[in-house]
Amino acid sequence: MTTDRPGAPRGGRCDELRDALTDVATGTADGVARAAVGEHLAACDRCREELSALSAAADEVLLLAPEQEPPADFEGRVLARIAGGSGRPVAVRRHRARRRALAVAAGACLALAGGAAVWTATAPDRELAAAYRDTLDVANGRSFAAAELVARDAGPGETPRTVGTVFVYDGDPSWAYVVVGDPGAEDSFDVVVATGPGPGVHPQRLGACTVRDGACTAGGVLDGDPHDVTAVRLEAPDGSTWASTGRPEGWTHGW
Amino acid sequence: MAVSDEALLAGMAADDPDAAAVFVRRHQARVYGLALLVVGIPAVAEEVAQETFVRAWRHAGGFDPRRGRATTWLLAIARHAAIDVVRVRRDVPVDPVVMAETLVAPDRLAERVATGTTVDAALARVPHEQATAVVLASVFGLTGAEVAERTGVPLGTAKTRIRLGLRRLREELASLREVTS
Repeated sequence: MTTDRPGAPRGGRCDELRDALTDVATGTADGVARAAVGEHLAACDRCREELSALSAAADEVLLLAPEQEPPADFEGRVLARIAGGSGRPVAVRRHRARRRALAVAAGACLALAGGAAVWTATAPDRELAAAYRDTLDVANGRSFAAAELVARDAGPGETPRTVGTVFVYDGDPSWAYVVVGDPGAEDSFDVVVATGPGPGVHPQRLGACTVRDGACTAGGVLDGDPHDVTAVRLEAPDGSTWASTGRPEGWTHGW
Repeated sequence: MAVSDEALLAGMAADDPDAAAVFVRRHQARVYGLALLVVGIPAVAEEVAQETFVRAWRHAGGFDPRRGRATTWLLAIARHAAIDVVRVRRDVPVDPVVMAETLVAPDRLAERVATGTTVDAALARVPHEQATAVVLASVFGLTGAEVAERTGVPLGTAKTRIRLGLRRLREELASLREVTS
């Protein structure tokens, strides 16, 4: 039977986070697990090394996929997209091109899925996707993500409660907005956006979220690339982290 | 001598379209192959593959060769792009369990081992159920709960298979690299 190797991380918190560490390595962790692992890694060299090795192994698995040549002039279409918007930032026309490609894809899908019943059943998804792309096009956006803010005050054995939501928009400009519906006994928070795991990366303070009528909201333009956002925190007046989130759902290092 | 991937990515980070062209040509079959494996529809796979290279262009400056090879960095981007698509579409005609079982079938692995693919050789030494679970998580982005549901095992079993399988794979990869070096 396979066991964890003798040199693998040991100890209370390390053991508790074994599955979460695995999920982060395979890219399947949710925001809460990412936040928990991120916080732990800051203080645990062994788990940081472990995650690095496991992530490398998980990425190697991708080499299993058989190689397949794409359709003719694939390279030309990629280069046109890059030239069209320089890739960074991407212009509106990219979304139009994508919409055309998706229309082609949808047609192919119809043929493969084998019938109008499937096409009809998936209509709400397609309408939602089209509305999402239209919304992004209006403000030159590339993506819009949301994540739950989870309070840190849960005791042992208690389920951490969701107290609010963070919205992050990747566009021109990029911004983040926080909505807290359950501020507990606090009067105000500082909203802090953490970017990148490395040293020397300073978190951005978006401003104060002042509680009125049992709720608060705050937001602002992001200084850096929203792809680099690793967590959003609510800091209590004493400087402690009252609630936080990992990277918004659907955001990954390869975003 | 061929230009290294690292040099091409540096060129892409400096907005050099020629570097991008060489990079795309070199990797397009791997990227498109992975995309097609995950989404199963050629036109959607091409969209995913295009998106992968656009993201690679956008983030070329962030590639760190100390953290891994350009190929796996790029394939990780492709995987994320493909899974993003799968999550918003319910009409993807791919059964991840069938595909994962096919990828880690002993006969297929043995055949590919003969051609010198390290990850195939390493996976061939991982217990079959664990190898399948690792592929479901790492390639198809299935969570422990989804692996449990799709393979008909309790959640704890699924999580254990992924965790032990990935650690075993890491050890086998390290051991194979020691032998070859």
